[in-house]
Parts: sequence; C-alpha cells; structure tokens
Amino acid sequence: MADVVSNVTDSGMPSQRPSGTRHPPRRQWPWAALAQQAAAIALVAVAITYLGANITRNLAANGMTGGFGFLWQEAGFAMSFSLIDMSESSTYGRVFLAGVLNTLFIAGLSLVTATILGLIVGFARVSAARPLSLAATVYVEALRNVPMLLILIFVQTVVLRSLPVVREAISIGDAVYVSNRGVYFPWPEAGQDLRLAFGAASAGCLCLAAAWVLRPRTPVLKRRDLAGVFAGMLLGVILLGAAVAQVDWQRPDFQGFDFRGGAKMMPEFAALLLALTLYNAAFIAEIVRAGLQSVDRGQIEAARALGLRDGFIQRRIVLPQALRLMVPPLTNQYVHLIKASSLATVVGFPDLVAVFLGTSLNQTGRAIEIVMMTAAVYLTLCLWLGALSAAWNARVSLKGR
Amino acid sequence: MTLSTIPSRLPPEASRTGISSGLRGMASESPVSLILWLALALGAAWILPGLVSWALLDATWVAEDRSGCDPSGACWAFIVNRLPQFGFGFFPPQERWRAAVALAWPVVALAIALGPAFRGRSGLVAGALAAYPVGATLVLWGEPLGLPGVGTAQWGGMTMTVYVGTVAFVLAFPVGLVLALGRRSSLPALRVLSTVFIEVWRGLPLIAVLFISVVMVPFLLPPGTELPRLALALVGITLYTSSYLAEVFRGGLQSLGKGQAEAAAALGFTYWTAQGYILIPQAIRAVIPGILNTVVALFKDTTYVLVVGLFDFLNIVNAAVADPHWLGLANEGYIFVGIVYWSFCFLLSRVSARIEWDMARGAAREART
Repeated sequence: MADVVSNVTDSGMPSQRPSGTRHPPRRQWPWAALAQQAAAIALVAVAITYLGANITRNLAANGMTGGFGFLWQEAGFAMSFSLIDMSESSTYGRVFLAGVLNTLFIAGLSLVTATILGLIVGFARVSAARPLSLAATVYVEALRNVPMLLILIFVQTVVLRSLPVVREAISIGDAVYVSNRGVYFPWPEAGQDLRLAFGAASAGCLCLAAAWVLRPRTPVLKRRDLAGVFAGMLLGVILLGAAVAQVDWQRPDFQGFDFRGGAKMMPEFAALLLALTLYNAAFIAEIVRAGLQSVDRGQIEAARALGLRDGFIQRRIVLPQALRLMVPPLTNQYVHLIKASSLATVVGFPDLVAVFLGTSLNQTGRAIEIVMMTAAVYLTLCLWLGALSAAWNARVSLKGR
Repeated sequence: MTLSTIPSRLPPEASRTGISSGLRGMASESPVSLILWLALALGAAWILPGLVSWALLDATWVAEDRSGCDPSGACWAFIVNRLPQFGFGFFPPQERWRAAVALAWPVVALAIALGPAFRGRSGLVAGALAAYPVGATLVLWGEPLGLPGVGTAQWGGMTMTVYVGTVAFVLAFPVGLVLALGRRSSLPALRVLSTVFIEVWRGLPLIAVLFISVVMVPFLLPPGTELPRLALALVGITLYTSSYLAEVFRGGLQSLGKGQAEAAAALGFTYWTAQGYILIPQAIRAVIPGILNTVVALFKDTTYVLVVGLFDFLNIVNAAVADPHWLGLANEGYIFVGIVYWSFCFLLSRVSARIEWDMARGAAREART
C-alpha cells in the first residue's frame, strides 16, 4: 500500500490532511469523511441485500437449494485427462481438485515453455546479428496482434488436423509418434522397482547443480577453471543416462487401430500448450527486449573497457539491471497466461473452468457456490504471483534514490 | 537501437553506424551473420513461392461453391461469397444498412480522433462514442424507432465484435474512472471497496467472467426478468474492462505531481472541481497510450464471447467453415480472420507507440528548457 501515503496529500481532501499550518484550513465539516464512507458502505450494503434477496427468491422459484453438500455427491462423468485417479463415481469435490490440478499443470508447463521461448526471441530481437533480430521482430509482431483464441483454433483445426492419421503417424526414432490423435511417447512400465533409477537421477541432478554452483565466477575466464565444471557436468549427464537406461520403458506400439503402451499427449492439450506458448512468448520477448534495452550502453562499454568477458557482462551486469524493469510486467504476463489457460474450455481440455464452472455447474445448478470456489482459486493464484513479484521488487529496487 | 548482445569480435564502430544499406552493410557484418542471412533467404525461398502461388496466383476469387475452386490454390471465393455474413451476421438483407451504421460509427469516430485536428474534435468524438451504446442498440434493434425489429440472435459478425467492444469500452470508461478515484481516495472505506472490486475482476479469466455473468446475472435480477445472452455477456465484459481501465487511470493520476492538487486546493477548488477540471483531464491525456492498449486487448478479447454462444467475427467464420458447401476451407477462413484482427491491432498499437514517443520527446524538451 505504498500509494496510501501519497493519497493523503494528493487527493485534495483537506479533511484528511495531517494537521499543520502549511496546509489550507479545513473548510469541510469534520465528519464529512466519515459520513461519505458510511454512505458508500450503506449503498453497497443496500445493493448486496437487494441482489441477495433476488437470489433467494430466484432459487426458491426454481426449487433449488444452496450449500456445499453437493461436493460429496457423485459427479457421474469421466474426465479425459487428470493427474489423480478419476472415475464416473468420483465426487464433485474430487472433480474440483482434478480441475485445479489440470489448470495448474497446463498453466505451469506453458509458463515455463513460454518463458524459455520468450527469452530466446527477446535476446534475438536485440541481437547485433540483423537476420536474427529481423526474424524475431516478424515473429513478435505477427503473433502479438491477433487474438489468442484465433491462434488456438488455428493450431487445433489446421495444424493438428493436417498431421497424419494414427496408422501413418510420424515416427521419431521409433519411440515417439506424432499423429492427429495425439503424441505418443515411451513411459516407464508399471509395477517395476524405480528406486535405483530414481537414486541415479537425483545424483545426476546433484552433480549438475554442483557444477552450476561451482562454476567460475572470475570476470576474466581462465581455461583451467572450466575443467571442474566440465567434469561435474559429464558425471551428471552419465548418471542421468544411467537412470534412463535403468528403467524398463514401454514403447508405444501400433496394434489394430491405435497405439498400445507408452503414454499419450492429448491433441487438445498439445494445441493449448502450443498456443499458450507461442502467444505469450511474443509478449515476454517484448518485455525482455525492453528490459535489455533499458540498460545504459555505458555500462556495457565500461565493463568491456575493464576487460570483462562477454558472457560475464551479460549475466552479471546487463541482466540484473534489466530484471529490475522486467519483473513487474513479466508477472502481469504470467497472470494473463494463467487466466488464458481457461481457453481449455474451447478446445475441450478439462481444466477447472471446463469441468467445474461448466459441467458441474450445469449438472448441479449450485451457481453461487461453484462461482465462488472457482473465483477463489484464480484469485489466490494471481494474488500469490503478485505478492511474489512485490517481494522480489522490494529486494532488487534501487535503495535510497 | 541495438544495444546488447555484445557483438563479439567486431570493431566497435564499424558494425552499426551507417545504414549504408545493401551489400556494404552486409559486408561489414560477421561471418555468422552472413550465414544467418543465407539461412533466412533460403527459408524464404523455400516457403514464399508456394505461398504466393497458393494465395494469389492459383487462387479462385469467384465461384458458386467449393467445387468451383481450383484445388491447388486458395479458395477466396468462399470469403467473397460470405462477406456480407461475416460483416453483418444474420441481419435480414434489406436491413443490413442498420448493421453497417452500427459498424461504421465507432470506426469513423476513431478515424476522426486519429486524423488531423480541428476545433471541437475531442468533443465530437467523445459525444459520438458516449451516444453509441444507446444509439447503436436502437439502430440494431429497430423496434423503438419504428423499424422492423431484429432480435439479438440475428446480430453477428464484425458488427457484433465492434458493438460488444465499443459498448463495453464506453460503459467501462466512467466506471473505471470512478474506481480509480476510489482506489486513490483518502477514505479507507472507498479505497478498500474499489481495490477489492478491481482485484476480483482483474483476477478472474474472461471466460469465467462470461460464464459467471450468463449464469449469475439472471439470479441477481428480480424474478421474471429476461435479458438476452448478449446483454448478460456485456455486463461481464464491461465490469472486466472497467477494472483494467481503472488501473490505467490510476497510473495516470499517480503520474501527476502533488503540486497540481495542492495548487488547485490553494486556489479554492473543491475535491470534485479539482478532479474534473485539473487532475482527470491531465491524467487521461497522460495515459492515452495505455487506453489504446486496453482497446486493443479488449478487441482481441471480444472473441471469447463464443463460449457463451454469440456469433462474433471469429465465431461466425468458425461456423461458416463447417458449411457443407464450402467444406475444408479452414485455412482461408482463419487466415482472413487473422489478417483483419492483425491489421486493426497493428494499426492501433503503432498509433499508441507513436503517441508515447511524442510524449516522451515532449517531456524531454520540457526538461531541457
């Protein structure tokens, strides 16, 4: 609430000013502020009472009841995708949980992919290599100015449907198959002991992390500093490879009319992921570009004059200063992305809005309860993101200026 | 403009200074850059000829149905045949002029706003826009004006998109302004109420807002009241837009120095006269780029009304693509939609960037003198 402080003097309400001789004398009735607030609250209260009365009358007229009891009732519909076990006998409460998890899954995944693509495009846009910046500019301008829904529908109807049918699926190394019915990929066989593989994978990740932590931080690079890092990385990669080899993978195998075994990424999910990534990456790229360009050129020139190497300048001098400007708009974009993930409804991916605000509401008619629960989920997500961003901002903002 | 990724082994000045175009510029670039140029050119050479012959050379512009189209090229005849529907929805042909009026109204207002200045221009534009919600509704509906009535089920296409976008914007403008003032008010009750309202509507996805307004608003009205789906959707979009506009206005109000309010108070202005004559006009002028960006976002977001079954520009093309006479023309349909949305949004975002640039330059000049 940083603006509260400035409000006191900005808004021209003499009654609320801190008393002091420098300020114009109070001309308003001292209780005016209180009365105005009371009036505003009364107005809102009257509106809420009136609307609430209408709701009660409408519910009574339709013979509907309220309450959250429906959450323990059987929902009676299956979900085409869920991270937890779902069946037709699952309750509405479980549907809600599965919907929340699906929303988090698609939003979280596309948040990562969009950020990676956005960073690449953003760096390409400010690159000194003109072909790169040209291509990045075309990408950004082409995607930023069309509705995301159009991109989603285009990806779903044109891109995915132009893929071959299952029988003629594109094979990538006989392991991954791409068809218009989805992407099929190998998956660990059920019921095997995964402890060893898990251990190897964790050790591998640990090695990579150690290599990252112990990377040379000297402004001027010396070759021998890199040896340890390379050794760590190599060990990590070998361990990860061993982990992958340890698992019995079930490959998708074409039998009869469809693939058996392995796992499948639904076309709806693929379309949504692709559309969310492509569209949001264009905006993130713009944020990255603005951030990078905001850094004074003199900083780079000074760093180069000191003999610092290029990677070091980018990472330790340009990026930290750029981040200060990038984080607030980036948070906004993430909020947009989370909200846009509800377009799942349009393509038929069962996210929270589709299964809970859509199907469950239609079946139970508990409009108020369902709306409130759905709203609470999105608001919590957005407020958390906002709080994280604010905390980061407070940490990195320039002190004492 | 290209600071950044440190052009590595280049002599510091030779690389970028002269836009002495063409070969000389290219020759001074690094080998990596040349290879990239080559890759870009190869990619273009691979894609462009096919694209041009599909979209232009082999394309069919006039045909009765799908069978009349050359299968090797684009079938633009589909778009040409359906253009009246894409523009005016399901309006009866003899009443289409009314849809055209509702469609052209905000477009003309925008053109005047962006065109050359003249005396009383802002008043004219503001008046035209303020009259739009009532005026356009009357023209489209027609019954109160003694014209043949056309129900909202027959509205659609670009008319629907422009109607929804403009009505939501015009109605959201004052609401957003009041919310922004409320959020900056020194009265805690007003501040809390406005903040909660803004954050709730901004935190919800527009799809959820549309679902909610279509499901909930009928419950909130006195029993027996029936409103068309379009009106219900408009309530949701207006509230959603107003909370975004409120944040834009708040930015504008915050950008004014304290001196403005203090000087106004010193001259004996009350709260409302100071806001109305001094603070709000300056704040709005300061955030015109932000307002235009909100308009662009709103224009793109109007496509979401398809989830509540309204036939806006995107959804009507969606429906036309499924027409058995013109089956398999999704490419043409969506490319057309894309070009229309893209042109409008690109134009507006350019205008917004231009205004922002002019303002920055003005501020810099002011700072110098």
